Amino acid sequence: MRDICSTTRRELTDYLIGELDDGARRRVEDHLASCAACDSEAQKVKALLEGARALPAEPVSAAFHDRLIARVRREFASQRPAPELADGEISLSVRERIVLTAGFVGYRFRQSIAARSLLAAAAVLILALFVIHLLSDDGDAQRSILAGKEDMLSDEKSLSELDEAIEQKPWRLKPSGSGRTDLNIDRLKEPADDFPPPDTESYSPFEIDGVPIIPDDDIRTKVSRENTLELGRYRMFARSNALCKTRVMKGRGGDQNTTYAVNRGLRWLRFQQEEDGSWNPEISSHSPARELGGDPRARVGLTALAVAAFLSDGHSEVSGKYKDTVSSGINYILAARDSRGQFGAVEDNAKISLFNQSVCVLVLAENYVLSGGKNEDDLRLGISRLVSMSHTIGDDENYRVFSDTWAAMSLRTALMTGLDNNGDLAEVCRVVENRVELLAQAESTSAVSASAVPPLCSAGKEAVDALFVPADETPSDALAFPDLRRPQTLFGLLEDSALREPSFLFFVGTALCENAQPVWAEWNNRVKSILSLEQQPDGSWLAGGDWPWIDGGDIYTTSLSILTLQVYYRFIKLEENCP
Amino acid sequence: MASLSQISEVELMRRFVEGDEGSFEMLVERYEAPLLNFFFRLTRDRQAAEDLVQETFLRVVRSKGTYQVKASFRTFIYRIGRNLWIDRYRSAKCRPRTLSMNRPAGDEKDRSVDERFEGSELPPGANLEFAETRELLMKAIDGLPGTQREVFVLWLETGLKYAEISKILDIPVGTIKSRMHTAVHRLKESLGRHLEL
Repeated sequence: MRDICSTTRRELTDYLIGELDDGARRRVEDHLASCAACDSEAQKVKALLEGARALPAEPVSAAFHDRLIARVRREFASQRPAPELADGEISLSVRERIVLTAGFVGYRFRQSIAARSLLAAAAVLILALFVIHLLSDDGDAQRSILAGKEDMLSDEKSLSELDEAIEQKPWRLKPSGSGRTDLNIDRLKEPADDFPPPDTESYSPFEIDGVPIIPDDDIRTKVSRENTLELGRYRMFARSNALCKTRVMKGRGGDQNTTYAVNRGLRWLRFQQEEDGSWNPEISSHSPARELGGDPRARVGLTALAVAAFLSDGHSEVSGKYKDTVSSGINYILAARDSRGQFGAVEDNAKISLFNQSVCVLVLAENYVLSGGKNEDDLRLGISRLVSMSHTIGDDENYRVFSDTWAAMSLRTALMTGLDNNGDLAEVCRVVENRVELLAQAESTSAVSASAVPPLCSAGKEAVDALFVPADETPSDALAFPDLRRPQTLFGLLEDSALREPSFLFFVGTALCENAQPVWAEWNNRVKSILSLEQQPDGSWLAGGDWPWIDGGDIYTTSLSILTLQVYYRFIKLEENCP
Repeated sequence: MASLSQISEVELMRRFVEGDEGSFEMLVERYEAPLLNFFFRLTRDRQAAEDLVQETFLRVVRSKGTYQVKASFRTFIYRIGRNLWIDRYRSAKCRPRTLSMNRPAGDEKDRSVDERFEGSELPPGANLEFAETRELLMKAIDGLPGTQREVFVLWLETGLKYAEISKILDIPVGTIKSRMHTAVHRLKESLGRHLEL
């Protein structure tokens, strides 16, 4: 090869991308015009560069763009000077920061499978310290746990990252209402104060030492099964009466561990609430860099779901230490209502619209009962809208039952407000539940079948039992799971985190607990074990799995996990004196 | 008065430094796609690329005090982004996924794409319009040594001149030129017959 050819070929790339000066460019062009071999080489390089330029670009999704902008805005906010704390406001104590940091470190720690083993070992060590402390010291046990967590806090970087996370939302460090100074993490971690265990195994949830805990001891003869506010007040009574709650809970399989888990979960949720009262499905304080991936279109419904967890523990707009949290959450929900009565309308997605509507109506109905009639006009509009939506779902076979189940639960709760003066609501509720039952029998996916359990419970014990066939037997034809390639019972699904959708646990737990199915005890023990293992040190439950319904992020997972651990006392029954 | 879309990046950055946060969001809109593709070409991992884009913008926000108005914003942000990638994703375990699988260390750099993907059904002589050939090209880019890959990808995704790439990477123009030439030569050799016209 001549020198001129060698020189030209070394300059081909620069020539083709315009990096040669005029003299060199003319020299290359002159040579290519006279040398077929070099010209052929130039064509190859040209094809290569053009091909590279034509490689498909990665599109920027709208979701990523929104997350990016939101994250940048939070960064702006974090750089602004922090507001001065006013009188009555409080800042996080060192201990509160330690607890938060322990959660944060724990989250980071679990990012690898190997770390899980170390975490388990650390948990055993902490437990051992806890036991030793109990045996050797009459101080409170929480100090041992905190001491164990303090030992984990040697990473200064984590502390600074936590500070950064906290500073992004400074209002979380303050009580959300005036005069509220009861933010005490130690107290939140001590269930025993609020829920003393019953002193006897034989008790009635309706009386203590022979004295009725409901003033009107003849109330059960006055309420009917449907359409009265008294029914609602009666069924939700245990939520706000500590002794009744404890007794009902214990009778149905709950314990101090479940209460402890609920309290930690509620506390985490409270810290996640945004300034506008909502819960953002995309953002978490777990880590500044972590995005939960929840669907922002379900923000109104997820906010309602978080509020539902507080309502289940008796906190309403007018009572309970979390009343400010509930109040601001409900205000956000009400602000999201349009003139049709739709909460959080998503015009292009009927499933999410129905989810938003159902959970919002459920929450407004429960708050209406617990608060003595708040937001009646909004609730009436919401119920009417929900009833009118009962025929809009149907273009997606996999989700119909799931959506309808939320609607059915919401309508059933709305019945307890007494706002159904002419019986229309009761009739619609029955129609929706019947449809859920029929669809469950026609479809085959596990989550769908699981979501059908509450209505099926009302339809009959045999229908529910059909979902609990032994793992080594073929399920009945009506409720088979051919898409899973092997017989899969509801118990089998419990063992697979990818299939264990959070609402699945809540729906099934609600149905079995309320209807005292024979499998309830076994089911409850396994669910308690799972939720206990999966709860994060900061009190949350992480989103995960490949769930077909809705991507709600950690807010969704945590709210539903809390609700699942509250099924013992969310509603008490009319028929039984003692569960 | 110039419309927002006509305002230069330097001007937007100057406004942001003075406190106009909306100007920075315009910069985000202009650069999120180029940055995403830049990082994606380097990492072949969508999630990692998104994380790097986000972190790059956050770094820019945090370092706005160090930005010199006379400097090119594009050079400024790509330099930050490239350094982030260096810090986090240049270790061996974070090499592009496509070639990191099944690759014994040290035995592949001299093999052509044909050898590496022996058994694929790509027809000889297929040009770069074929999806399969594009896939091979992407894999060949992934297989470039890091120093050559970052120069080639930076040129590919930004269209920057050598002089600007030199500022981003903080190396002489001559080195950029040499690495670019070597990278193109290696890609050409790797694709071999698939570049036949």
